[in-house]
Amino acid sequence: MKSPKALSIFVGLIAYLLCSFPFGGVAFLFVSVVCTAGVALIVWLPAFWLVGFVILSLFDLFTAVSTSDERQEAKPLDKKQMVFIQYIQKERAAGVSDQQISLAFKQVGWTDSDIQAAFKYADSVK
Amino acid sequence: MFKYFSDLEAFRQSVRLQHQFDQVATTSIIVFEVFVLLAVLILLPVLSKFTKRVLWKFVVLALGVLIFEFFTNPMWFNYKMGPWAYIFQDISWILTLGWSIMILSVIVFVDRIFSSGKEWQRFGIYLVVLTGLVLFFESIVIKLGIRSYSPEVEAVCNRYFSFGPSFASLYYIPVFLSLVIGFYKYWSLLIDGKNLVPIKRRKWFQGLGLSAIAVFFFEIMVDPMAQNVGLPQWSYVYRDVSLLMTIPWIIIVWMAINFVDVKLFDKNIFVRFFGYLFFIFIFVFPIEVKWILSGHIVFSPNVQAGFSGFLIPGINLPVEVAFAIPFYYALIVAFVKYWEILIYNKRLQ
Repeated sequence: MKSPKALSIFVGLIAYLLCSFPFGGVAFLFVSVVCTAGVALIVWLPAFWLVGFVILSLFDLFTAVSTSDERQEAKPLDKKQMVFIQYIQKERAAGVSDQQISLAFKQVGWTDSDIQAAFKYADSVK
Repeated sequence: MFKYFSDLEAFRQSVRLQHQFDQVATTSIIVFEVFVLLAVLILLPVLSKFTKRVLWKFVVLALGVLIFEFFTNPMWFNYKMGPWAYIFQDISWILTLGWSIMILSVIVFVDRIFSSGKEWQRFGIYLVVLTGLVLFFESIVIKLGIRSYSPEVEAVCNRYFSFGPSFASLYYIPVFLSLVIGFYKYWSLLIDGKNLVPIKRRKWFQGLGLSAIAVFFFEIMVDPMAQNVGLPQWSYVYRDVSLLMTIPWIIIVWMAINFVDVKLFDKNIFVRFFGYLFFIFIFVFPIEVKWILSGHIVFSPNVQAGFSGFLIPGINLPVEVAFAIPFYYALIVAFVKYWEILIYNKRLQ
């Protein structure tokens, strides 16, 4: 899920305040913004956004993994599934059986419904 | 301000003086160089009979060796090879080609002879065979007067390995080879067009373990290049290798790999590799600068002598501090990713 920019900036700001508090980072932020009449925000805001983006993405990543088992039904195709299909096509071209391909997918956590959906689509785009 | 660079002109003058060394080659050294070049010219066509795209593989391996030579340059010296033999300070392209063709030959022949074995078994065989070969050729370059070691390396060897420097090699050589072969194997996946399974459920702890192994062993190997000082005593686990420094590097490598792999899921391993390095750089660089400026990382005299004299504007630290990060993490990340890919792709094992 894509996080709004404002939320990323806010999370980045909080992370900065928490980490830099013991080293006088709060005062540094305040002084740099006030003394430059706000121009320093050109540097600060993208930096906060980047840090916040990374933190929120990691959060998404962990939560996505923890809930992945609950999503059993096939989803519409996205970038991930396209990669999935390309893998099937390349493996088939190399002479690997569908059974072996399925096994390889299962070993890295894909569910039966995910695999069935991917095979179905791979067949339809032959 | 970092004490070594407070007097910039004196620093630059000392750099100019310390980069001068004896480059005059003896006849035996020239014969050795011709032997190395002939070996490359003969072995490459031979290897092309056993593996595809051998030239690309050779280039990748040579790049891995060169990266290693660049960032560990202050640990050893290569003198008397003739002015034609050097590409930067005392780093010699002839030695790079020599190590590369030797490593590539062993990999190709071991893969062929033990083709039914598991990849980790073959990796072990590479290390055993190559450690013997590297020791042999290392003794030749020492006898020829080309290779010598920095006092810091000699000190570590003598103090911690009571059987002498050659025994220390039994640690350094396999670690160096593991990183370089890992780098080669990672890029070979791309060169050979290997099909990698898209991952849904990541094995977080295995990735963390691999990152810990790679970073920790690397830290021990480059230990003579810098002193980590002024940290709490409890944090030192081996000589001056401190958990307070090593753990953040491990976590950054681990997070970079997982973050990039998930966010750049649809990109190939070429693009992802630069994603890892970018992510690592933006986190490692400020932390490392902070450690250096606060005096917790102190470079050894030979590392300082190896600096080019160019400084990063604003913080007055040698540019090598910034350049070294993507270089040495390139080897660490490739090693970690190679083994991670093997864990997920059972058919490649």
